[in-house]
Formats: sequence, structure tokens, C-alpha cells
Amino acid sequence: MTRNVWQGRHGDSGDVTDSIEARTRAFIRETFPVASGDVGSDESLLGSGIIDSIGVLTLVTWLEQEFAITVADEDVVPENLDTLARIIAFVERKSAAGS
Amino acid sequence: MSHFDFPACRDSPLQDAPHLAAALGIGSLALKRDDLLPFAGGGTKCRKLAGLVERLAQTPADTLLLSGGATSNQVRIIAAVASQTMRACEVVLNAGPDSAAADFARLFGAVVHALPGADAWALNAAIRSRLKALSAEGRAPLVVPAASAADLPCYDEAIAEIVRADADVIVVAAGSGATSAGFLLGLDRHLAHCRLLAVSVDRPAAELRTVITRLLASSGIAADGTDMPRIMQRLDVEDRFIGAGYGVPSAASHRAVELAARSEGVLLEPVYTGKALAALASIAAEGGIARNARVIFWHTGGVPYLASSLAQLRS
Repeated sequence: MTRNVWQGRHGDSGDVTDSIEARTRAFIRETFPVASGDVGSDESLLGSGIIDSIGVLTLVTWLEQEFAITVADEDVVPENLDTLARIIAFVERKSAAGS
Repeated sequence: MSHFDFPACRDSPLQDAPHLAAALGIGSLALKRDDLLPFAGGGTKCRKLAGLVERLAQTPADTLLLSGGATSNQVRIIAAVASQTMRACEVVLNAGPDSAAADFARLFGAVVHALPGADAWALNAAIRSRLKALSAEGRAPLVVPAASAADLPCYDEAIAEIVRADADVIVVAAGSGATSAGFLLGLDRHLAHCRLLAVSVDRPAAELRTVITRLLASSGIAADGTDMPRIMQRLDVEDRFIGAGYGVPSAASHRAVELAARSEGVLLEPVYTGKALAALASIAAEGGIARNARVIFWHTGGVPYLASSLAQLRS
């Protein structure tokens, strides 16, 4: 089900960040089983082998649906998507900009 | 129903290689000739075609979409499968339009998108862009990954073909990691004492180990359970023979190609199998292979790409 990260939330931005991180962590853990241990916030997802190249497509599709954002082709770069911390910042930017 | 019998892509010959064994100082050496598997120039990747075609028959996919490098066996073979099953194919390459993989892909009727030097992210963005464009045109594209847990059973089953040889060591070139991961599953079931030497052709050993672990985890082996350490402990990874990088021949791999040709009349190529044999030769010379060890060198194919390297061998 598609949800907007801002919908139904009344806390501060820290709560929102926590929510994005928790949901993204859960998705990565469920979808990429090698990440059964804790994934560091600054750990490279592609470089460490946690996700593979096709996994990036899976991740992007999930981000679009889960957070109701649009990811452009030029957004698919490591600066936006290669670590949990970057993903959170990217989703926050996209959501704040109304995607 | 396909008119080509894709399940025939198995049971390749196991060929004794006494002259090569003597040259390397190994007591017993056999070559598992997956290069002779009967489709699109052969290669171990052919083993996954039966499962892929079966899965394709259950989808509406009319276009296969994949990425690869300048000498990708996957690109050549999947482009051929698309042709044989009457589907379109688009290939995104991190190599030039005149690369060998591009030539073979076009030969099989695929559309080639050449992005020389593109990294994994750029390839992903290009694949995603083509996915959206094809879908917008009303097509039904299907992305074929280089390595998938769905492919592991065919490589697992391949080990059953060599059980009677009772090998102590299997040597194989490793790129995507899928063949190695499947072989480890097969060894766990059939050859408890046999080790796997995976010779990386494109990434550091630690990264290849992680990729293999991820594939095993995706196949249902719990990453934090007891099976994973048992399966992984029989894996040795060698990454000293990558040379200048993926798809780039090295002096050592050229020597290995010549050695196989001149000792056994067998064709290798210098970016996968040549590097794997160069690694075996070096490790044997260092005393890393017991004199009485029974070694199987798994010929993963790629011979169609040898032609483009012959001029370099001549010089």
C-alpha cells in the first residue's frame, strides 16, 4: 500500500527520520537476506554486497511506492542511494519538495 | 514448448588432462568441459537456460533486458535465448559498441545500448530507463539478472555429474558468484571433502565472498545460521589474477591459454578461464595443491570470445 511519509504524523522531523530509517531497514532486511545483521547507516549497500545491481531497481521501486515519491533516472546515483543515511536524506528531500 | 531441448545443457564431458597436469605439477587433473554445452557457443551459463525458459513460459514477457561487460557470456547466451524463443532483447553494456559482447548480441538480433566505462549505478539507471520506456510502449520487459538465487539449483546439480571423479579441489572462474554459490550447495550435498577454489575475475576476494554469501542467503540458507559457515568454510577465493580488471587479458592469462592449447588441444579464453588456469598454475607452483590431489578445472566457456584475443596472443 502506498503511503506518504508525512501523512498522519504529528511528531517532529526526528520522528519522521526514524520512521524512514526503520521502514527502510526492515525492507532491506526482508528483501536482501544477507543483511540479517545490523546494517550500518554509512555502510555501502552495493559495495558491501548487501544488495546487487538488480536490487537497486527493487529498492528504488519500493521507495517510490512506500514514500510516494518519484525517483528520476538521474537520481539513481550512489550519492542518493548507497547508504541508509543517504537514502533517508534523499527521501526527506524528495518528500519535502513534494517529489 | 520450445523446439530446442534446453535441459540438454548439462552432463558435459569430464576430460582427463594428463599433459596439463604434468606441466602444472599436479597428480591428477580433469577438465569439466562446459564449453561444449550445446547452445550459443556453450559455457556454464547455459545450464540455467532450462529454468529460465520455464520461468519465461509462465510470464507475459516479450522483451529480455540485461546488462553486462565487454566479454559477458551471459549477454551472448541470453541474447541467443531471446532469439530462439522469439522474444526481443535489449542489452546495456559498460563497453563500447564494437566490443565482442555487443557484436554477439547484435548478431542474435538484440538492441545494444553501449555505455563505455559505466559503473553499476549507471547501468542500473539505464536498465530502469529502458524498463520504463518499454513498458510505456506497451511491451512486457523482463530484467534478467547476472546472478540470481533462482539459478543456483542448476549449478548445484552440476556437481552430481562429477561425484564419481571424487575430486579434492574444483577450480572455477568467478564473476557474478552464482556458479560458485551453486557449486558450494552441490559440494555440501555430494562431496563433503572437496574444496572450491573460486578465482575472481573482477572483484576483491572479500567482496566476492559477500556476494556468494548473499546468493546463498537468497536461496534460503540462513545468513546467521549454522549451515552458512559449514558451506562457506570449503570456499577459497583467489583474487591475485584479475590483472588490469574485468574483461582485460593479462600476460599470465595469455600464457595459460597457450598452455591449455599446447598441452591438451583445449581452447580457453584470456579473461575468465585463462585467469582461472593462471591462478591454478601459480598456486600449484607455490605448493598450494597437494601432489596427490585430484583436481577438476571447470571450463566455464567463453571460447567464442577467444577470436578477438588471438591478435594479442600473436604479439
